[in-house]
Amino acid sequence: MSTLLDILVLGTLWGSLYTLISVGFTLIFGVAGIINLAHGAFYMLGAYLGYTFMSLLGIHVVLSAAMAIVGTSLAGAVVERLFIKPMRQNHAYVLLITLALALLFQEIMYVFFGPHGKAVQDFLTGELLLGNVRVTYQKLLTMVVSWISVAALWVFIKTTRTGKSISAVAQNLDAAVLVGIQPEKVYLLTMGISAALAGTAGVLIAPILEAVPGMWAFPLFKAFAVVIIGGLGSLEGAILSAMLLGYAETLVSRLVSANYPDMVYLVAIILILVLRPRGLMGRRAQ
Amino acid sequence: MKRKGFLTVLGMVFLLALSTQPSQAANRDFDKAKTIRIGSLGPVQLPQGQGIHNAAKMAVEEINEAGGIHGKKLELFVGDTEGKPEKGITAMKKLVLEDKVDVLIGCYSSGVALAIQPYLPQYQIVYMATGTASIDLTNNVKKEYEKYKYFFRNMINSDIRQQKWAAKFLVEFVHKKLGYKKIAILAENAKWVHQYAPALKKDLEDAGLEVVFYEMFDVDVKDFSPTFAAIRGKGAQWIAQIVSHAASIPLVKAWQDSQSAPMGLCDVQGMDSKFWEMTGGKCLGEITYNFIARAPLTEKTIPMWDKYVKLFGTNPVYTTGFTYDGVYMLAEVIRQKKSLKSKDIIDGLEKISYKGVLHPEIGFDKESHDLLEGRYVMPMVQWQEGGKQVVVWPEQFKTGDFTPPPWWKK
Amino acid sequence: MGSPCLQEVELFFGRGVIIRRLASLGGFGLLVMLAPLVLDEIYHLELLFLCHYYVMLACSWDLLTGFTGNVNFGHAFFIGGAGFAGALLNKHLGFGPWLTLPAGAVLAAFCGLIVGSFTLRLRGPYFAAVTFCFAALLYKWIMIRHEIFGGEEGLSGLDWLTPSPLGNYYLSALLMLGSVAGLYFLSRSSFGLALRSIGQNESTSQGSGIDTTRYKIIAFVISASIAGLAGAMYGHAQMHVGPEMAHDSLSSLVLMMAVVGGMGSIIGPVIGAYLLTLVNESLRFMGELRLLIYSAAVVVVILFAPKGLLDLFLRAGERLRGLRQG
Repeated sequence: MSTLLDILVLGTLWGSLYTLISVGFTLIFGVAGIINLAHGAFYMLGAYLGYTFMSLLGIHVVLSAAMAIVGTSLAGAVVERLFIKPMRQNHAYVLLITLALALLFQEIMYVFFGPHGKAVQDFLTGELLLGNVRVTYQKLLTMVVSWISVAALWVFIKTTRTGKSISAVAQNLDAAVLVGIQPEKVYLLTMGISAALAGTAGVLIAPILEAVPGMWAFPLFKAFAVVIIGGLGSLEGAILSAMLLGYAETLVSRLVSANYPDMVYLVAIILILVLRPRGLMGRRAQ
Repeated sequence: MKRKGFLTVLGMVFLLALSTQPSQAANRDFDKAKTIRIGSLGPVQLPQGQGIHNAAKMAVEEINEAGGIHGKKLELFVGDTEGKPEKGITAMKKLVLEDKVDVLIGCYSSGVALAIQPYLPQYQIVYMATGTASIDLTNNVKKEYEKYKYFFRNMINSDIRQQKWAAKFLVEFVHKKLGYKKIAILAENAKWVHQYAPALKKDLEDAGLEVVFYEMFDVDVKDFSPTFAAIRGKGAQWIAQIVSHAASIPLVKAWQDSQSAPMGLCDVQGMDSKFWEMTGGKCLGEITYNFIARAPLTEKTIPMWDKYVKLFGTNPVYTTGFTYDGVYMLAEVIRQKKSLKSKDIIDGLEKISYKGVLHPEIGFDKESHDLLEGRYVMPMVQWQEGGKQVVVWPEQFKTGDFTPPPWWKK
Repeated sequence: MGSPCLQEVELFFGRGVIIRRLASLGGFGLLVMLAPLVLDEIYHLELLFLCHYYVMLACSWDLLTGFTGNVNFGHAFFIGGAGFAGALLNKHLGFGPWLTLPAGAVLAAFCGLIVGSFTLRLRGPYFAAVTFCFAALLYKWIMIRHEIFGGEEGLSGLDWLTPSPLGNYYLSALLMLGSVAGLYFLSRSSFGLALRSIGQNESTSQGSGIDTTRYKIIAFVISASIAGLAGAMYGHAQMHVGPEMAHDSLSSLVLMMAVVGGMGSIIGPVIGAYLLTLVNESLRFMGELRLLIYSAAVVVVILFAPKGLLDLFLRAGERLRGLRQG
């Protein structure tokens, strides 16, 4: 019984984190049709910026987090303008240059911060005991912020004018242009939002894990998995598959061993692509 | 026709080139050598590696200040292995082929040392391993002496020696003194643990303890919350961790957060003085054994420790003591034999009995070239309030009392 | 399908071009074979061996991705897979390199066939994702089953490739030159043409009657077998195989070499492999900054010379010729 509770708690935690990481990734694909392999690097940037402001400069937690997220968002905009815009026609090249950028980001972090994990203080100290799992307030905060962010994104896209223009570009580029929407501005904005979401995840997770130069890889792979399983371009699909992945991994970790959860997403991608390539909730047309 | 001629020329070129043999490195003539070159291997970015390189540097400088070896100065070259076998091979080749060192010392990972071993007979160079614990390294020497005789190890092997010491600590201190019976074993699955962990489990069960949890986890794992939740669920009273290469920092943080049970056996990264800062103080209460401590293991230990702290601004790590003694032993043998030929160095090392910082009578087994039995001590060190590292066991080297973690009721 | 017969190629490109191409390849081959007369330090031989290894990896990768546009993110699957297979055959069954190298190539080809059959009907990012997954799964499996594969530390004590560093150099040179020549002429044949047309527009090619999936699978199999051969070769030369040979960072590295050199030409990856390997070595004195400069350079090249350095050189050459004539 307590095992089930453990799985529920931890699964929800990871599922929420994956959701936060993946919505940005699927957003940029749905809107601009590109796969941004530097997505994980924004997550990493958020974590390191958070570390710099909080631990090195001693700035107040909330301000640090805000600055880190804004910084990451700006980085996203710069990447979009300088590196992705010139390559946009050729999808293969976008893959390549964003990959190269991710590797470059890794090296930059290595030079500035060294290869050791950097410890970041929890934002809130204290914890809750649920079953056998001690859930720290930090982890609860991560969950709550993830959901608030996703909800805010949802509201933004469905109700505001700018949000609707993003949606319009995603659905039908030509029609959107006809109505007077400027796609370049939309791409820039979307990338900024996408990076901000990834950066938020990074800032939140840094106290729980640690900030290392290689940390951009794992969120990228998970986001990729979530988005493929859920269906490229589908926000609802991303949320659903993120939660499923979170539970599945926790289940495997508890019932089998800690070595296997990292294989779940790999097997899931292969199964989905072989059996139902458009994903759980993706659109039929490719 | 043109093609045939082309191939013939190719063949002749091939044969011609094969006849030229590139030059050898080690085994130089002692009298003709201007300096004596030592190659130090280890991961430059990790504390264990820095411990190797710093110790070698300190020893080399001291020997040079005392006049060198028959007037010849020692020169130190550093090879960065990054703790990985592939990089280790590259680093070793740089030292042997480019820097042309006379002897090799160091290395922290057994995997790296194993990858390097087959090259020793190719390059005919002596290698003193000072940070690698796997027994395979010295078993290889025993099995194929002619091939691997160039290899010596003055560190304490994990498969037998560390494992027996671990069992001793858990039975004599944790069980008999503290009264605990239910033990959890949480080990990384690296080479040095493969024999260690199962043998430890058996020894504990033979002594009447109950191993309620046993897992060998992948070195890449970063999320340990489910693991500690499971350990807590099994009612463990003590966690025996065995980690070196894995992600100690997240592991220790998850352990502290889980408030499951006291943890103490072996956390190599946890030996480092900066570990307190790196975990944000979350290693409070963790115990790990170390191979060096600021305790009078011999009369040379504390002066060496204090000088090291003064020179490098940080405490010695476990590789420091072994490397420091290792460099001195190599120098001693070269001095005695007045030779840089590997066969002479090997002969000298097989016969040596040296008073180092770790033990008064360091020597090697003639068949396996492993450190002789009984010529070592492994103090258990606990992280206490304020980031202090206190020796809590064995009794004769204690610098303080064992203090359970603040949340531990029993 | 039609075999890549030289007569067909000559008819298409003109006889003069063939002779010129053979001559330049031959010239390159001669240079490689004669190099040890000038560079006799073991250190140099081993560095060039490394170049041969990466050339084989980059060129084999190029055959599929450079020509058909299907990005393969899991090349390390074949490199590491064959490397470990060869190592296991060597350690447990005592097979020498003369057996393990071909065995590695055949095994890799077989895996390429299986994986390709399932996945090459997927397009674009999906194929890329799947290739990545297979490689990542292999890597995980290698790490988990540490009692077989040695875990993080791999398998050591393999038989050496040949009895001397010089021998290693020549064997790798022969394998490399053979692979490059084979891949090159393949790419210039009707098979290569078919691959290129798939790369331009897969739907159209399919429409004109080419079984695109079959062509892609064959290219994938050839690509895999050469990568496997190289992997087994490398393992023996190092006397060690480790999980890094199956890691995604190796896939990325090979990919970067091909892209920087110029995808879709076979020759571009040769340039990319030599250049990046030698530059990486020569920048060693920079210590920590080395990889930073390296990866920054890669980004710059992709941004400003997306078709690669080969294309850059060729265009510069044309412009020079144009200047002289005009």
